[in-house]
This record gives sequence, structure tokens and C-alpha cells, in this order.
Amino acid sequence: MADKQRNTYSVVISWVKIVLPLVAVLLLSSIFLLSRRIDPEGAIPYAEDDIIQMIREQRLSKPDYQGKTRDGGVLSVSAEAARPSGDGTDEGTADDVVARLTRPDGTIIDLVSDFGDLSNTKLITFTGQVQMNTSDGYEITSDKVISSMEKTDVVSPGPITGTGPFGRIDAGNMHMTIPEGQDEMITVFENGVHLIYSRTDDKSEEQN
Amino acid sequence: QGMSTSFGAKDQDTNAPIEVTAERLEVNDNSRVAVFTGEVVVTQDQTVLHAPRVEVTYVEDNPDTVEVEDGIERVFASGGVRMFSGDDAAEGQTADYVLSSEIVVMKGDALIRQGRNVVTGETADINLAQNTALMRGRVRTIINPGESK
Repeated sequence: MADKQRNTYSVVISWVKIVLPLVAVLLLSSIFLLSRRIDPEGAIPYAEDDIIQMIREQRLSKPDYQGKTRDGGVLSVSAEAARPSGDGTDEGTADDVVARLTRPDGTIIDLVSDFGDLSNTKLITFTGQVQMNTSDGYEITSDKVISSMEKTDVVSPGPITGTGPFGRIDAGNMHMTIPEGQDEMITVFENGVHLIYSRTDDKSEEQN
Repeated sequence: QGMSTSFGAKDQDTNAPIEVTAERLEVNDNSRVAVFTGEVVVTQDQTVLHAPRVEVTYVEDNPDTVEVEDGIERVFASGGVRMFSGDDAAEGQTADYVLSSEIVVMKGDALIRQGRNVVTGETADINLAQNTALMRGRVRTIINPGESK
């Protein structure tokens, strides 16, 4: 009898002893066989793009450039952020650029603009509400000014407006430079010049 | 010796703003001279001056005085100058206008045209404030009774 009533308990146990290890083996193998293919290459490109981005962007905050121009002037440029352009060309753009050219005879030319193109090592191109103030009384606005970094040579190819030591002026273009062989700076306005000098503000009060 | 005639608009305001238009302007800041070239037109109130070349000299800012002296000290036009004031006209090779003197000196076969009368001479001192013109040097007057320009 006893053997007939084979003890179900031990039967179950004997099956469990076989099934459970099998299941364990299956589980273990699935970890390695079925797991997501970890592609070692895959991880690196993501990091690489980021690095390239950083290198190319070279986020220079407040990059300061200071250099001597050939004629003894000192040019210093500071921009909020300068970035070589994304599309690989080395044409770099900067935001709200401030530049100051101090000439040997002490006159100062200040240029402030929304954007500046600092990529060309010989020229800086200021664009976007360019405001130019000089120590001898010019306050001129233009939408584009190109200044050489090697010598005193500031050009506004487009129209300018503003005030000068002589009064209000509007002109088709403007060129501030030191002619060859001379050491005095001249400013040439061309392409139509319109100047208004009103003396009423200061002189007439004294007279009457 | 010379002959003086009346010239120019009666109410010329020599303090009025001076307006200059030209094709080109070159300014040398150190020497305070601005040279306008190319159909230069200088307008002050009712006086208009046309010339191919005009040199404007600015007032030297006297560093010791507190307030800034600025402004135009002298206007020198050359290359054949025509000046119109009111309905009178004056011509000459050069015109030299020192603002403080309020006199425009025209030199080089100067000519003044007033209505039908024409006066010519070597130089003409045109006083804008008092509307007089003093003509000097071989003065000749041509009074054209009939023809009016």
C-alpha cells in the first residue's frame, strides 16, 4: 500500500528538483543571449558629436582681442560671445561687439554693434545698428561698418547719419583713414552729403 | 572808392542754420577744415550759394574756456561762385564769408545783378545783415531800362 500511495509530496519535489534548475539556467542564459545588443561604437559617436560641437563652437565668452595696428594704434575688441559659424566655414560671428581703436595721437574711435564678424584676421565687420563715436566729436550710426585690424581704416559702405564736430550729417557712405604718407586722419563722406549746422542753440543765447 | 548798392533779402537772419549739400565731403579733424566738392549748395535762411568747391573752417575750441566753442568760422567757396539772396544775384570767382563779419567778399570779376541793373567790378563786399554790397575795382554799372532777366 505504502508504495501505491507513493508520497505525492516526494514526487512533486523530485519534479521540482529537475524543473527549477532548468528554469534557472534558462533565465541566466536569457540575460546574455536575449539582452539588448550594446553597441560599443554607438556610445562613442554621441560623445564625439558633443565634443566636436564644443571645439567648433569654442564658446569664448568675452573674448578679448588686443593688437597693435601698423601705424602704432591699439585696437581692442570684446564681444559677448564669439562663435565660428556652424557650417564649417571659418567665418565667425560674435554678438554685441565693442571695439576701441586708440590712435597714436590719442584720438579714440569706439565702435559698438549688435553683431561682429571676426573671422577674417585683417578686418572686422560690424553689422546691426552700428554706433561709432570718436573722441573728436563724431557720433555716427550706420548698419554696416568694416574696420581694418592692421591700420586706421574704418569704412561704412552704406549710408550713415549722425553728428560731427560741424553739425548734423547724412551721407551716402563714409571712409575714415590715414592717407599714405600722411599721419593725419581724414574722414571722407561721399555719395551725397547733407550737413546742417545750426548755431542757434549756443551763440544766439549769448547775444540777446 | 567803390559803389555800394543794396543787395539781398531784407530779413536775412545771419544766425540761421547753415545747410550744406554736396557730393563729397572730406574732413581733416586736426586742421578743422572740411572740404565740400561736387555741386556744393550752401543755404542760410534766404541766401543760397552755389560753387563747385567750398571749404569750411570750424571754430577752434579754446581749451581754457569752459563752454565748447564749436561751429563754423569761415566759408570759402571757389571755382566760380553764384550767390542768390532774395531776388538779387551775385557772381564771382571766389567767395569768402567770415561768419563773425557777416560780410561775403566775392573776388574775381564780381558781378551783382539786381532786377535789371548789373554792376561789375573786381571785388564785391556783400553785407548780409545790412543788405548792402560795396563793389570795388573798375566798377561798371549797366542799367538796362527795358530787358528784364
